[in-house]
Amino acid sequence: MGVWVAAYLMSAVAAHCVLGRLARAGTGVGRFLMVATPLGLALFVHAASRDGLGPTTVAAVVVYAFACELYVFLFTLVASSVSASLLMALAAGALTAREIGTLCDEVGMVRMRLERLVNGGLLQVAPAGYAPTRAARVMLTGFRMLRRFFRHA
Amino acid sequence: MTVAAFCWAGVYLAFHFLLYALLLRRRQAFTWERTIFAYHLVGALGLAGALAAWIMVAPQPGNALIALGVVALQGIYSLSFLELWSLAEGSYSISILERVERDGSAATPERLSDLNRIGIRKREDRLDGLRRLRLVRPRGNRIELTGLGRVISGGLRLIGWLAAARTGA
Repeated sequence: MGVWVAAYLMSAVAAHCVLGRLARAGTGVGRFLMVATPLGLALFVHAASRDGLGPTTVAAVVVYAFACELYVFLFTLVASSVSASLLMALAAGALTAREIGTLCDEVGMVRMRLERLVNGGLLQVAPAGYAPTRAARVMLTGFRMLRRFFRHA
Repeated sequence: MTVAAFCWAGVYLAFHFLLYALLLRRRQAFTWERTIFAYHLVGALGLAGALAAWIMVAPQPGNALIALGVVALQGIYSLSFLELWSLAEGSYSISILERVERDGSAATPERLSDLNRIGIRKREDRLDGLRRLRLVRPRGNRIELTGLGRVISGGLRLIGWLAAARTGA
């Protein structure tokens, strides 16, 4: 069944790769969930029809779910991590501090984040500027609770 | 035994979380990223070691996938925990959202420009971090990737290409 888990995962990544080039609307995570969720259900049905509703089927689905989470973590890291963008910028060759400053320009960073937050449905463009959506307010409440739980300053 | 493997893993993960929630999170050292990371890494390695021993004792077909499933369960728990920990600590996007919420409709791109300072600080912190991890090194007045940095950078570019991700933090 291990080979099948790998095959379903590769199909999800391949479908995400194609979908990302065909449809730019929505978020990368949303597009991945659109393809990975039905494939996960298909894997569950496949494993259950082969091995029954036992620990092997559960294991296959859990391994698939973890691999999907890891993939989402990695591509969101590529899209939004400062460290990842520095590493990718340096792949073309050594840079001076000034050149790094131009590549990862901080005004652009804020603008790009604002654009992503609008696309992700967390900010709306109000007449005078930006406003958080209801989803954003719920999320911020959640993060404030988490900050207290983790005891971040 | 195979069903028991999942049950024991569930008990172990609940214990791992409760130990942190009830006791460890109150300690100063557990507010540091490297301690939290080590806490999860040690837990994962311990579980993987116990499962490797189980496979050697009971080498039956299907057990390897079940062991992998149990490790994946720990992976889902640890990755989710560490992501939430890190986002709650200081995500740039969360900082922007909090600022927009505070400013109300007055949150224009111009007024948010002071958030650029967070961006500059983050870039400097991250560059220092990459230097400490030996992924980049200075060469004259320039900064270049080390061998390991090149491998990781290549992996990130591949993932970015696969996901058609718009790069640039």
